[in-house]
Formats: sequence, C-alpha cells, structure tokens
Amino acid sequence: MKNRNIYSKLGALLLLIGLLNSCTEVIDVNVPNGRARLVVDASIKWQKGTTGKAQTINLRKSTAFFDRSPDVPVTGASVTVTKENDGSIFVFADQNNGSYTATDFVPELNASYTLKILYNGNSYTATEALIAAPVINRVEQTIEGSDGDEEIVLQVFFDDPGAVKNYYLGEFTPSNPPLPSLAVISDKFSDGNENYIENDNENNVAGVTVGINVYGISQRYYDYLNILIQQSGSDEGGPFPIIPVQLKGNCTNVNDSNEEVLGYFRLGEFDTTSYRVN
Amino acid sequence: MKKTSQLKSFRSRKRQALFVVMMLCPVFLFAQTKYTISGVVKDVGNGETLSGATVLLKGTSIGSTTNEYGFYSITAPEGNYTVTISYLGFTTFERAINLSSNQKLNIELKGDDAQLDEVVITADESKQVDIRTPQMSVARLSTKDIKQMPVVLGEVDLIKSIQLLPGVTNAGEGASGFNVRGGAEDQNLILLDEAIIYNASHLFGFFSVFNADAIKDVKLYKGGIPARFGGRASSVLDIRQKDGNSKEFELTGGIGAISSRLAAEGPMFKDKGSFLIAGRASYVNIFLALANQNSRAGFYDLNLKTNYEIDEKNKLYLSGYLGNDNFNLAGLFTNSYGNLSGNLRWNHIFNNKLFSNASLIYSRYNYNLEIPIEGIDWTSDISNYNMRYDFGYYASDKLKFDFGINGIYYNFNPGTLNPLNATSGVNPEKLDDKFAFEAGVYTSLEHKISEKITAEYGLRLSYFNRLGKQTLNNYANNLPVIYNEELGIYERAESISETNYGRGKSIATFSNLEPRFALSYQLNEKSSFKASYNRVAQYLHLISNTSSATPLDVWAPSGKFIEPQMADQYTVGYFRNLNENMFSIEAEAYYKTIDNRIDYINGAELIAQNTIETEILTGEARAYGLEFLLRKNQGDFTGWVAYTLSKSQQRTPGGAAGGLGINNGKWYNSNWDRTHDFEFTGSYKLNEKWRFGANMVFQTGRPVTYPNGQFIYNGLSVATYSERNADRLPAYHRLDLSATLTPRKNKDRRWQGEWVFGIYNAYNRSNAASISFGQNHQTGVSEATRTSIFGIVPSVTYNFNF
Repeated sequence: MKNRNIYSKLGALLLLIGLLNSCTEVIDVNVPNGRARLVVDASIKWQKGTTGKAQTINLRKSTAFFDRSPDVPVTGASVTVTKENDGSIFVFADQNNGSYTATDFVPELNASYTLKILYNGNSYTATEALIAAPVINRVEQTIEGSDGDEEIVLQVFFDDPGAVKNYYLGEFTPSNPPLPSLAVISDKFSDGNENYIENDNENNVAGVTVGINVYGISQRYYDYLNILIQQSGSDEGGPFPIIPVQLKGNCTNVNDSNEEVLGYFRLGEFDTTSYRVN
Repeated sequence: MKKTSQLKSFRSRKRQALFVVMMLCPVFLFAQTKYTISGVVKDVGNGETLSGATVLLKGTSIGSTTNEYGFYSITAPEGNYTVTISYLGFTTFERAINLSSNQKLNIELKGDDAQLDEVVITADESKQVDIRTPQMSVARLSTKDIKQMPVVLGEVDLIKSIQLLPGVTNAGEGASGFNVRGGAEDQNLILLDEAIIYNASHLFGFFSVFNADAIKDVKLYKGGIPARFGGRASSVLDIRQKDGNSKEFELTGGIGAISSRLAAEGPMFKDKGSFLIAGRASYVNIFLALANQNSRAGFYDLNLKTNYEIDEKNKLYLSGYLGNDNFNLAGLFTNSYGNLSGNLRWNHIFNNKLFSNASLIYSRYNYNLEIPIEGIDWTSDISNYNMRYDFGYYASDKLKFDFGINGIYYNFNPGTLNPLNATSGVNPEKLDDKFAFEAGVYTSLEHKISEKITAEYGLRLSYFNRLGKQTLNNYANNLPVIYNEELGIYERAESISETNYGRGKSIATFSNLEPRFALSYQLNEKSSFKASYNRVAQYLHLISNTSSATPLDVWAPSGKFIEPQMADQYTVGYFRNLNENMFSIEAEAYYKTIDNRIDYINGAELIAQNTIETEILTGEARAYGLEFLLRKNQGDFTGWVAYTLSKSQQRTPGGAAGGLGINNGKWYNSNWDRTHDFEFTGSYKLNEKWRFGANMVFQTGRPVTYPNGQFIYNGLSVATYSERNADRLPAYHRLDLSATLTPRKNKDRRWQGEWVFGIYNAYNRSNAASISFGQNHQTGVSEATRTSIFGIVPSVTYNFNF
C-alpha cells in the first residue's frame, strides 16, 4: 500500500467535496535557486536474455526550477564502473554530450559494482548490487473514475517470490509523448503472491502503445524513488501534501561529503513488454 | 528515560513541598463566625444550569463562579449583603440577604433579550473580562455567539469560530483540527461532556463534529491549564452539551446548504429531569449526484443527553455522541470514520461546601478504508474507558480546593488489513494491538491572599503504564533509526531480537509531577495583571507527516521507544474593562517549550507501519507570541478584533542515532506557524427584523518548502528541495458576510423562524491551500500548481424553534 496513493486519493475526495468549488491553477511563484549541482543519472539496465554489454551513464548539471532548458550536459569527466568480485573495470567513454558509454559491460546478478567519476578535480563514488527482475505474466487494463473523468489504468502482473523482501520498479513509456512514468512497490502486504504495478497516466488513451519495463531494485533505491515519485507530478500534492524533502542519492564526493550530488547509481535486470491501449 | 523523569520529579518535589505549606497555612487563620450561601444557577428560559456565572457579595471582594454543573458556594462573615449573579448574555440578578445562618439560594437568570420585570438591572456586568480570578488564557464562547458568526455554507461551526480568537490557527483551509499557541493538532484535549474526542472533523475538516444545537457552552484553555486537566500539551477544549429544556418541550432545527438539523428537548421523569436528542445529517450526496459525480460523501451525528434529579443532593446525567462520515470516490476508494462516546455522571453535594462528581466515560474513534482495485480492506480504532472523581471544596471566603482522581485504560488497534475479495493479491495482516493505562491525581487551591492578590496553586501527578500483550523488536544499541554516514541519510535499523511482553505486563512506565500556578494582581476595579505557569505531560502522539492531519493517522502511546511530550508554558497578561464595561481588552504574552516532539525521517512510511520507531526521531518544539483582543460587549454592534504575533518552531537533532538530525538539526517553522494573524468579527443589529455579521481574516501564509532546483533523471524532470518550511504560501485573507432575517410575524407565536443568508469569501480570493511543483505530463515543462479550496460561497439557511 503506497502512502502517496492514499493521500492523493484522500486529497481528490477532499477537493471533490469542496462542492466542486475548489480549483487548481498553474501560477507563477518565486522559488529559491540553489547553485548548479552535479547530477548522476546512472542506471545500468540489463534486459533478460540479452548480454547487457552496452550501457550508458549520463552526467548533467541541475538548473533553476523553472529553467526551460534543464538538460545541461557535463563533459570531460572520467567514468568507470568496477565489478567488485573480480576487480574488472569498465570504462564509460565520454560522448561529449553528457552521455558516457561502455560496450563491454558484464552484468552478473547480485554482484556488487562501484561507480567512480573524476570531474573537476573531485572524485565521486557509489556502490550498488545488480538486482534480479521477475518475469512479466501479463498486462491488464481497467478504468478508474467515471462520467467523463475516466482514466485508463494499466496493471502489469508478475510473481513475487515468498519469504524474502522484494522491491520493484515499473517504467511505463507511452508512445505519445514519450514521457516515462515510474511506479514502485514493495511486497510488504503481498509477499509470495502474484503482484502488480499500476500506472494511471492520463496519456493512456486508445491506440497508444505503452512500453513497460519491470525492474528488481534494492530497498535503498526503493526509498529514494518513493520520495522522488511522491515529489514529482505537479498535480499530486493536493490538500494533504507530505512535506517535500531533500532527495539524497547514493553518490558522494570522496573529498567533500557535504557536497550535494543529485541522482543515483543503480543496477537492475528487467523484463519488458509493450501494450496497446484499447 | 527514567533518569530524566526522576530528576525532573525530584526538582518539582521541592516545589511541591512549598505548595503544601502554602495550602495549609491559611486554613487555620480565621476565627470569626462565618456562614455559607450555596446553590445552583440556571437559565429561567429552559432550566439549563449555567457554568461560569459570577456570584458576588456586592461591595466586597467575596465571590465565586459556578462550576460545570451550575453549583456555587460562598462563605462570608455574618452580616447583611447584596448577592449579585451575572453571566454572559444574561441579566444580572441582585438580592439582599441577611447572612446569619447557612442558606441555600437557587437562582434562575433571564436572558438579556427577555422583557424586564421585577429583576433590577444595575449594570450589565455579564460580559466584562474576568479581572478577579487567576485563571487566564481562557476563551469562552456561548452557542449564541457562535451562531451569529458568518460561516462557510451556513454550517455553524464551533472549531471555525474559535479560530477567530487570538492564539488559535490552523494548517490551512480545509485542514482538520486547530493549533493553539503554536502547538500541534494532537496537543489539544477535546472533551465533549468529558469524553475524549480523537478527531473533531467532518468531511476531512470542512466542518466540525459538534452540532451547535446540542452544545451549551465552550471553553478553550490556551494556557494556565487547571490541574484537573492533563494528557495534552497545548490546550483543553471543554465542550458541554445542553442538559435539555426542563421547563417545556422544545423543537429546534435548521435546513442548510450542507445539512439539516433537528433537536428535541423537554422535561421528563415527572419534572425530575429532562432530555435532549439532536441529530444532523448532510446531503452532500445529492449535490454530487446532481453534478454527475459518481462519488459520494456524507456525514451524520447524533447527540443524546438526559438527567435525573434523585434528590436535592444527588443528580444523574447520561450523555452520548455518535457521528460518522462516509465517502466513496467513484468506486475506487471508500472510507468511513467516526467517533462514539458515552458518559454516565453522578453529582453529589456532600454539604454546602463540598461538591463532587463521579464520571464513567467511554469513547472510541475508528476508521475503515477500502481500495477495491488493490483489494485492500483496512480498519483501525482507538478506544478508552475513563473514570474520574472530582471534588470542589469551598473552604472559606479565601480558599477553594479542587481535587480528584482520574484513570484511563486505552486500547489501540493501529490496523487490520484484509483482502477485500478472493482475487486480491493482499495477505491478511494485523498490526500489533497496543494497551496502556493512564492515571492522574490532582489538587488545586485558589487562595485569596489579599484584596488585590489571588493565587492558584495546582499540582497534578500523572502516571502512564504501557502494557502488554505485545512483542517488541530490539535493535542494536537500542537504536531503531541509524544514520548512514556515507549517504547522509537516516535509515531503518533491522531488529536483532524480540521481547515478548505478556498480557498486562508492563512494557514501560512514566510518571511526572505537573505543577500549575497562576496569580492575579488587581490593579484597580477595572484592570488586573495575571501570570501563570503550567507543565503538562502528554503520553499519546498522533503519527502524521502530512502538512495537516488526515482521518487515517493513528495514535501511538508512549512506551519503550517513544517518550511522553512535556510542555512548559509561561504566560503573563493584562486585562482591562473600559467605558462602563462597554469594551474589554486582553493582552497576553506566552512562551512555551515542548520536549520529546516526534519528527519523521525523510521518506518515512507511516501507513500500516508496525514499527513506528524505525520512522521517527525525537526533537523539541518551542512557541512564543503576543496576543491582543479588543471586544465590544454591549450595544447594537458587538464583536472583536484579535491580533496575534507569534512564532512556532521545532528541531530534531540526530541524538543517539548520530548525524546532524532532520533538516540538519536546525530549527524550522512548524506547518501552522503564522507570524501575523488578524481577525475581526462583528454583529450589528439594525432592527428587530435584520441583523448583519462580518468576519475578516488576514494571516501570514503557512510555511512550505519550495524547490531550489530541478534535474533530469531517467527521462523525468525532478524538483529538488532544501531547507524545510523555509518559504511561505501567499498571505491568506478573506471576508465573510451574513444577514439574518427574523420575520415580524414571529412575534406572539410559538413557531419562531429565521433566515440566514451568507457569503463566505465575499471577494472570491483564491487562497492557496497548497502549491505543488512538478512536471506537466503533456508538455514536460516544470510548473507550480496552486490548489485553493473555497472560492466565493453563498448560502441560505432556515432555522426554526418551536
């Protein structure tokens, strides 16, 4: 059961019983501007049944919140990932557009990997394990809401292994526009059962094809994404907002632990499917 | 944890010794022949007892106020006196007496809008501010006052009304609950006929659960909390239900935009008692159906009261409340919640100086949540059995004792999860039930030291025992939350073992001495200076990390991992009546600290959480402020202007868990901190037919956290935040208007009707309830979205009395 879900549903209800008098409106607000911070967008993604050799890591800078061009690439960094159990090092080559790619990566389930970035005289590091993914059983679509306020909800089903804590990430990318939406679940209340992740994106309309990936993730990354998802989506807050907090990822500056480094280094196996909404 | 308590109790024990000496000394000082006059003060119109009426021997400073059951007792030297009895909204009563023996004087007061006859009016002293007793920081509202204020959708609302007083705020429009002097929502002891109400809101906070037709009077203690109350750190909201008209049968009701009300009351038991039954039900459902919404929302409540006078010295009261809310969000989500309470009381007058009341009270709050799509059925409740025995001993013209005992047994069911249907992927689960016993013993002495100085010394000894049966986790180094040095975040610790506590076995105990002290110094006949101090221990905590509490939040008792909240409050004030009591001024300054305030680690998961200890850290809170209230009490125009300048903050250092703490251990503004809070409320009687009302509110916007940047991650644009509550929503302001039409044909007929026309938020200000930040799903651009709840809301209500 997800906090966000319940609070946003409570919120929807509260607004509804504001006798349709309440309103939401996009407004201009003056927000503070922290300095530009290093963003590590490092997800090693290993699709089931593939070699997983080609991997990309992106480095960027953060911008002011309302900046219309938020994609500020970081170039000239040195990026490597070390596989801890055999000491092999994979070099991610600078593509001079913020992305760094490797073509010889060796994924291994449950193995521990360490990311190292050298940039501007600072050394950044993070360590994570590669988590296994479940096999997708099927995708179903249902309808939430009623009378003109309907949303198509997709549910992707898979079996959860019993007697062990598992965390999952669902990534849903519709064809139009290709903005991914993320959802995480834990098996806390559904251990050992067939679990599902749901996606209630308003862009899910008939004819749209949605690409669906299901990843296994670590508990720590689950906690991180949980906050990230709660705090993204401009229509989510409502009258019962959870106080937003600083998103702390797992990358740190070895020389200065106080430096705020945004983003996360994580590795996950995934199963994929696509679904055409009808 | 015991060490600190012991240290504190040792310190206060010295203070206690001093109190006892002070309490005993004056008892032996008088020798002159003295007699006692005692009785009960009632409303002549309906026989309701009046609490808080002032009984004075004119020309002396000897006097008393009636207690919750209308009882008073005055002891004075033999002689001739004039007794005056005055009460808010009633004509002052006067009678000459010859006090040469103990006597009984039961009085029925007339409403000040009643025809004058044999009762002589000297001056309407009834509404003046109390400059005589040491009690301060108390706000009393009569149902009549509350009913005259303009309200949203015409729904008369007690909790909304008290928010127009200085020192009382909330965490936003539509937020449930209220905040007193910078205290949190869970720090208000809300008592309905002595029963603890755990959630006072209908429709998630749009309305409160108290039906004004069933309420007699309301007292809000913001500070100087009397020793007979305990268990909540910031305030006591003491609500008393009407006893029921003991003179004649009466029907009261109203038809409004949101709900309809009906109350019936009348004498019973052959004039030995009376009854009241009041009901209220909403029809929000109809509106939603008309608006073609597949959702449902509604509430109802029912108030019951009856009393029976066994004889002159014994009286029984039975009262009850039942209320419930039901929601259905388009079949996606159904939710219901409600309170249930009952109270059996026995008033016994031992003699003309000793009054007693024994109460047996039960109350319960429960909620249920069903999410069909996820196959979840969730229920949770908290209930308690409460016994108290309170005494009032009117020892002499200089001394009055209050003392008593109180015991509460709590049962917490934080949650039971069941699969809703056979296809549900959810496993049944039950969070651990929790049990606790809370006790209090208190004594309080009001002592008139001289003509000008009156003091009140109070002491409460509270005790809390968290009981089994429960199995609790043990953590390495006794730390359920640990600081991850490398990542700079707080994380849940894994349990290393478990301890089983058997049924009734004590898990943790706490005891605290809570001194209460108040002093009044009367500068002259019109003004006084008062000061007070109180310490209050709070053993229950509402677990909530949303900006305002939701009905789904659970209460957690103190225990192995959670220490009781301890509040210390210091208050000074100046009180003055002006211009023949036409106006009154109250100015107060307070400083309050609260220890052991719970705060939540980033990403805390509170829903269905069996180990709350892994989600929290303990910190402290502080609040200080200046309050100013100017009231106009008489004439065609009455009302008040209130202004509060205040600060409310909290901080949570890492403590034993390590690290700097939440928000880097820095002080941050609480969600309900309002620097400036200005309120005006007024009522103008144009003629017998028309009366007009207005409210004006201006408040600093509530603290919020704005993003200080954005970054691209996994194809999404994500906001990043820094210091907690460092920004503020735009200022909140609005104007409400009302007009009440009393048709002239009312005169001389039994059926009395009135129309109330109201406009809430007259200039249609879009006040922000929240501003959220995120990426637009369509355009991918980062944007800020404001949610505002009430625009301009017109309403019509018809009220009647038969």
